[in-house]
Amino acid sequence: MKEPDYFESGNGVRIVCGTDSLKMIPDLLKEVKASRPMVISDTHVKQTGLVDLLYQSLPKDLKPAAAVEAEPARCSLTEVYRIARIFTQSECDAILALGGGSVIDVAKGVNLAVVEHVEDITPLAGLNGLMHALFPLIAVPTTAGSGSEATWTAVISDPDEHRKLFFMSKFILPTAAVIDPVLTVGLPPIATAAGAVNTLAHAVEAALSAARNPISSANAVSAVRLIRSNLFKVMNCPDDLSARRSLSLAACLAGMAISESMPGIVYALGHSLSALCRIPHALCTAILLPYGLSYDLPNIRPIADQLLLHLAGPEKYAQTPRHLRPEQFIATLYAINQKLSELTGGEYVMSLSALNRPEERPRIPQDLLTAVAAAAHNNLTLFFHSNSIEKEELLHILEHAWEGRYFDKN
Amino acid sequence: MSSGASLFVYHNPTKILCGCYALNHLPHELSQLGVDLPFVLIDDRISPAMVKKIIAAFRGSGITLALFEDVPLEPDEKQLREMVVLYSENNCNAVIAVGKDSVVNTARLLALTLTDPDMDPAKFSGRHRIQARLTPLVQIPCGLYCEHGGLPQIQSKRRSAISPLLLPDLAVLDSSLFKPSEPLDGILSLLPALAICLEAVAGRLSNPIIESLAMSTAAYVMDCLTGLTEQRVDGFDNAFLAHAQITSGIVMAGSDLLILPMLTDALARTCGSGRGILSGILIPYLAEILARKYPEAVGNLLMACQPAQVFAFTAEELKARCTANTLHEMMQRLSLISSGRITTTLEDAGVPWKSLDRIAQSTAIGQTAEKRWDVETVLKLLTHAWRGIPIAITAKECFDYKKN
Repeated sequence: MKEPDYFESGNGVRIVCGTDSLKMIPDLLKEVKASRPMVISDTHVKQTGLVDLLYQSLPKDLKPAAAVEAEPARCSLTEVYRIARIFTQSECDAILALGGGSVIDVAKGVNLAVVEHVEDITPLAGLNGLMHALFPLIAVPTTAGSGSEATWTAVISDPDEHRKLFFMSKFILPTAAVIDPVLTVGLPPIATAAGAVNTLAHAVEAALSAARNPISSANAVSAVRLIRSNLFKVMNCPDDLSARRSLSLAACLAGMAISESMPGIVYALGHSLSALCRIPHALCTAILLPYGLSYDLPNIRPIADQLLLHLAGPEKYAQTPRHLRPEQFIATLYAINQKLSELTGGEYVMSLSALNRPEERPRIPQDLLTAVAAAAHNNLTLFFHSNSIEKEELLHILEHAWEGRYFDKN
Repeated sequence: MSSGASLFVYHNPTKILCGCYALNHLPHELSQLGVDLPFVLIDDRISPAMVKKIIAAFRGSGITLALFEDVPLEPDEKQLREMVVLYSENNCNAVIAVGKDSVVNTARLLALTLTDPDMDPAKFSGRHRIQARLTPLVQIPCGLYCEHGGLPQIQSKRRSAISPLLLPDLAVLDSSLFKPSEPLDGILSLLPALAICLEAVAGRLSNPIIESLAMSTAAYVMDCLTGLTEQRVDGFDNAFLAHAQITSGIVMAGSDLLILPMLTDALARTCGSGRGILSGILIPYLAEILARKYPEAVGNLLMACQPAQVFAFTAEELKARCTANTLHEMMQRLSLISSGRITTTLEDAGVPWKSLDRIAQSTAIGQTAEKRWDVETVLKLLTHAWRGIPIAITAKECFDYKKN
């Protein structure tokens, strides 16, 4: 019964979750008195027919005032400014963001650019830089991982500076998150796997954060349990809508959890790696998760013990001697990654070096790791880590993750 | 493609500021809501020192307070209209309720009247009949709620309205506004919250996000109860207990029809016992009845009732029975340490035997649409709770569950 001296909790996003939830979008728009929504998606989402699926859910009298596709995998300031201009020219009054975390983050960036009437949003980066309510934003995730549909953070890359900017304000939180598992059915196995482990990373780090509160911890634990019960169901049967819904819900819950308690080492490293090497954030985080946590194990033992129950289930928990439960928790994370690698035919890799293909230009040059560690060290989220961490320690984690070498501190 | 992915909607509009100096964050939060002229209803039982403390939190914030200090316990229509006039004359744009249950009730009535000037309480009685979004509402409890203060509910002339739209936009739970109380009093005020959360999880009534919230609240309350009965704690920061009350309100708003709050309200009208004691009596019996219908959900509740070790070591098919037994034992221990002040039977709580049938009938009728509870089952729950005889879950039933 140990509470923080003070905490805040509350996430006002309206969540509509389940099959056919797209049909609720007209009601949600009506509720916020919006009649000229802009649809933001990306080319991949458009090609897979999901944009058409969204249009089918809209009545004839509610057609989007504008529709744009953001550059896939490039959630950048350039895209934000380009789309913001179209939003203003088309006199839109709401945003429907259909896509993964990057698309939703671009939509958040567009929203703050148009409301703040600025050509340059970089001065608004950081905590609580906004003072006005934004246009209604309805986030419709097509992946299950980032949880961006339920966070008040927008992460937007600044290509000129090779960095990712964090915009954090309660005004950035979407008005509603419409989670329809049908939209995730076509995801390739690698994306499902990386998304789910990214969710796991968010949830676990939220549970371990120094800024956790009872609500964020509850959401984090629920996300972990949903991943345990549903990840391999989906990997083995991608059409299982019930399990798909649970994975999407887990991502949303983990998003709510990190919004309140902030993530830690893995998230910070994942972001820097993703920004500097242009690799999807979810994949970076998924690879780094066991390495980051095993390095930090001495500091997280009591919570790792509890998390084992939720991640591995009561039987495994009961079978494991009490003093070995934290190690078993880390071993379970490795085992999950191992199994996902097998199920994806090796496409889901377990080390950073494995992302580099022979005879191709390396995606992650080893000599870049020092710069990644330095960038991660400046990440705002590390402020909420339970103990201070040095640049050299971050580099140490990256080196282990690069080589696929586990930490063994015993 | 499987089709089992049913639709649910979740919305929790309440932001909670909880703990030391929570009050200091209020002006900033109000500004974010666009509020600069709140109408502050102050319970006349609140000490002047507390009122001063609240006013001081706004100093230099640019927010002007319109204070209304003589809030009647149960305002009539004329008094409500007077408040509306004052609110409008001062160009207020939010209602703040400082105090306990009655002032919260008045604040909600006022918010409703401001939204619909011809407000007729009869029009809104029942569930989910309030349609329009209300004026921003802030709750600053000074002491734990004893009645419906933490719940999304209005009481007016024996009518009751329940709606998620009655949840506050902000709840400010500042430790300094809570006087230290007897731990047992704190626990009594928490038992209704525990009942709501247990029913929401055990009855599979809610959506997964509400379930997560209910589970954590139930675990927190059970942890407090265990600490108390094992004499590990001798007092609580009541702001955190109030947090459990507010979250149980969010759980109630997000769940379908819950039977325990209705039953305790009905039982309270027949005897001198409060909702805390009555909720506590009913909790284990409810768990026993739900264990037959939803053994897995009740079994999962063991996680909230016992340490992880016990949950993990209990066989799957016995978890539901273990949950119910734990709750029975808890109530017995509370009765013991309170020297019988917390009773474990409805008979000892003063509920007349002859009222049970009528209460079962009226409560089950309210549940007809959902077909969750029939009169016979409600009566079984009440008669067992009146006599104090557990509704035994046999080993055979447990193993049948495993087979199925």
